[in-house]
Amino acid sequence: MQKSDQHPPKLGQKLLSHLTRYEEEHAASGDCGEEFKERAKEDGRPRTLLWYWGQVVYSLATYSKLSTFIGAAMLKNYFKITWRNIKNNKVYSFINIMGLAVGMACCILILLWVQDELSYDKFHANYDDIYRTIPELQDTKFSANPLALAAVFKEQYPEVRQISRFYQMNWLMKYGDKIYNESGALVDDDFLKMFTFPLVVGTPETVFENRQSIVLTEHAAAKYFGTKDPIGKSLLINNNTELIVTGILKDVPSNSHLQFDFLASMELLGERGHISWSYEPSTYALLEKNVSIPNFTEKISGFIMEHDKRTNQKVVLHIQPLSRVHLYALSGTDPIIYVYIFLTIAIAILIIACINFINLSTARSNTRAKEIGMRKVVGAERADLIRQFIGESIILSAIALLVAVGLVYLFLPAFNNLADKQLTLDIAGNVLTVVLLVAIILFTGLVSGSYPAFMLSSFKPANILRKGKLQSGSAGFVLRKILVVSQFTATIVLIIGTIIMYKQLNYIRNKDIGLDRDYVVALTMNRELKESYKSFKNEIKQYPNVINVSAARRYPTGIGHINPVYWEGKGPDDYVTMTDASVDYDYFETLGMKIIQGRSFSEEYATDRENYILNEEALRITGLESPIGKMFSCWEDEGKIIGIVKNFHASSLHTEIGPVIFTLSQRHGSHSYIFVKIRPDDISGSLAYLKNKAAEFAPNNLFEYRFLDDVFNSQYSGDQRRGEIYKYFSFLAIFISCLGLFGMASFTAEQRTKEIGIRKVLGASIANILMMISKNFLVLLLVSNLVAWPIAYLLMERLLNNYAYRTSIAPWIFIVSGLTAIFIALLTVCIKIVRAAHANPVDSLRYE
Amino acid sequence: MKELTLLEQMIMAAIVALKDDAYGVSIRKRAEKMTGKRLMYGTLYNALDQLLRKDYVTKTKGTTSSARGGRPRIYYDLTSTGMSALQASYNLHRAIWDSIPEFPGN
Repeated sequence: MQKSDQHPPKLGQKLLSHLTRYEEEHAASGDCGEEFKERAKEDGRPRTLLWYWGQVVYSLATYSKLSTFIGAAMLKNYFKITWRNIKNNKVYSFINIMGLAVGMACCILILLWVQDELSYDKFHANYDDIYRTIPELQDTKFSANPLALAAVFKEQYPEVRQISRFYQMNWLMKYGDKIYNESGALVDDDFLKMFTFPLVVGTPETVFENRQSIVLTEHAAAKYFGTKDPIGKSLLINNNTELIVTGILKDVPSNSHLQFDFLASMELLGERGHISWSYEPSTYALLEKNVSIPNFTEKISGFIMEHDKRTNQKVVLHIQPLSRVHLYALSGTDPIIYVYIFLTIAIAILIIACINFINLSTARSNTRAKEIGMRKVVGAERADLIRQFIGESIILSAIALLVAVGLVYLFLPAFNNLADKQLTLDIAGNVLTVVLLVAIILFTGLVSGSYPAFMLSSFKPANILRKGKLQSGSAGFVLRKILVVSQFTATIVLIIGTIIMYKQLNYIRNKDIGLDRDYVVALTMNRELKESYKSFKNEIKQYPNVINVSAARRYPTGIGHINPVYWEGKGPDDYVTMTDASVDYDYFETLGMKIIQGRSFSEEYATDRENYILNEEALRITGLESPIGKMFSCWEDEGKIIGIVKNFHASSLHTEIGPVIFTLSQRHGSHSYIFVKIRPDDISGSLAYLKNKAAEFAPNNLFEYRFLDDVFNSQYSGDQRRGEIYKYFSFLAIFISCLGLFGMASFTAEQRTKEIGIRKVLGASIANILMMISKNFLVLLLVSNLVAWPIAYLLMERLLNNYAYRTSIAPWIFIVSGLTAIFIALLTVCIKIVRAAHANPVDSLRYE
Repeated sequence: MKELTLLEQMIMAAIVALKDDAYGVSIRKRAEKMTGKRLMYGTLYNALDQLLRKDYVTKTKGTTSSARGGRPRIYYDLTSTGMSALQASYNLHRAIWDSIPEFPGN
């Protein structure tokens, strides 16, 4: 158990020591603190916390009971009246509490999400001083650094205290009969010292003393060794290397941007790891405390150009603090924008719920007029009344919060699933959460209570008591209208936003991206398949449902490495880089990409090993009129341009199409995926066949595959998840707004019972009456639409501009959203009014 | 003299039983163990306040330890009036229960 676990919460201690008499006479905080420590050892922290808070709250209660509290009797009366009001107006109370509860539940969920987003990487003790080095080439920043950079960097700059590379690896691990794929990383010796990834077994200094060692997380170790002691056991990696387990790590928290299940020493790369300037691992540096960041940034900017002698590439080196890694992107949209969007939605929903409360309490002011008159006559000051009403709304919010917390517990698993997070609501142990919840109660209580409080307390007692009701029945009438309009404006904006987000997602998914990603199975290449690739390819091509087979180093989504290129006729000083993709024969045929000039790679021409195929964008940049047969080179590899392929979307539609060149050369390493185009019928049969064949050719490896369209879609999984979340919150916004409208409608119906009765007696039909009452609401809804449309348009324009390829904002979206809102709202109103209109006029007229 | 409440008896009995070691934590635990009923600190302090005011109990400041966050222990002891009050209520209970030979229904 950690030391801090044995200390009682600070807030509780403070509270106790403020109960002056208990503290001075009996040393209350000392007693509770002492017992806390004893209990924490036996019962564990959560139960003890619960016990402790129980003691604190109870002490507060007994203490205040004892104190001579002048307003105690009055306070009791306020509680009584609040309770009676809740009990006597079940419908209103239900609407108020339910609306507030749902609003608060949304708010809590979103705040938990935001809290989680903001908490990324903060658990590192050196959080403030860790930086990532970021090279920038032609306005493109990337996290991959040269392998040799770290050591030279640390040597050259005394500001660097520790440095470590992090080289992501996917390894096939074998222990006995257990084979799994694990994702982890190669790191330097400083890694475990600079980052707070605690070791359960082993020390950061010694785990990599022997270079042939591996450190596993608790989760991964349990998979292989169960309850046995893993230390000293050896794992077979990729069927060719044995590594000894020397340490066990605590599982990596989900709010870490570095995720891994194992760590091994960077030295496994051997000589290459020290001398190569190839851009592969990411690099993290722990700087000294007093380093001036602006000066340091300036000092290092030319570092790569100074040391990398391969070319005269203009690469600028930057640093990025750990605090920006998760929420700020290297290119494109910064994810922090979503934090802002969600926060806005949370507050909007809470305000919509507060508006319900304000509307209902002002609308019902008549019914409470007598009470207020009485109180004033007996001597209540205005301030007393304000306090009463605000207190009342705070009590209601507190009840609503209890319901909300219940709802959050209920829906947290679903929300986690939706948002792909592991959020928990930890009320007993997390002071921040408690503060947050109290803040929500006070916010809603004050916002929703203040207007009714000031309005109701301003009544003139003589008028009220003489007439038995308020002078004008329309107290707050205009305000109520404005509030309803703003409520529905917010709702309609949310609906429009959701529809447009969906349209954009659909657009992305169905856009012709220039290659056919359907029915392409991407098999992971392993060592055995690599060796027998040719025969494997020839064999599976015989299968009737396999159309074509090819291979490549990367998925088309992240197609290659950025490299400097040269072509016949290029000015000697121009420095141009293009994305260099290494592929196999039949690549364009397998992925359905169109060759628009020249030809594809062919095994009939031996020289094709050196030749190049460019995409249209690359051709445009070279400016060549007749490109076929022209000399072209990447690095020093000289060849000829033999074909031009039609533009296609390599990466996500957030970014524009860039220049791509294709070669058969494997200068960046061998191919890692085999692409198999299959016929749409009997997919499972084809998969089973591929699996069998793979097992035949690669008996010591796992058969792994993904469908290429999944690979493409996973680029948008973030957008998709957010789209889903918007959808649910829009539904809830509509629900809460309509709840309020329902309350308003029932209020109107009640107020006008007599009028409806008389109209019916005089011959009005139910339809007439419905028209008459819903007309007022209809006007409000139309105004809401007019306000919401421009706001939604401007907001969505800004959002869509994040995409390089975006859908249009069509007028029908606005009309559909508006009509949906109007339809649902009127339906709500009508349900209530129809009941009133159906009532027998005799009953309604007799009721006085 | 007003009768002692059950709570007061519980606390005073605990103080007597604990002799020199009667301070907040030990009294609360002893009283809980004695009766099997839950005793909250708020209730305990409240009752101790009353007992102090009635002069049934005195207190002395004890030592400080780091486990208590710098707050000293406060030890309680019965005064002679307190002791006789407790004796009186013991006698009263004896008198009540001695008046029936055995509990009905047993």
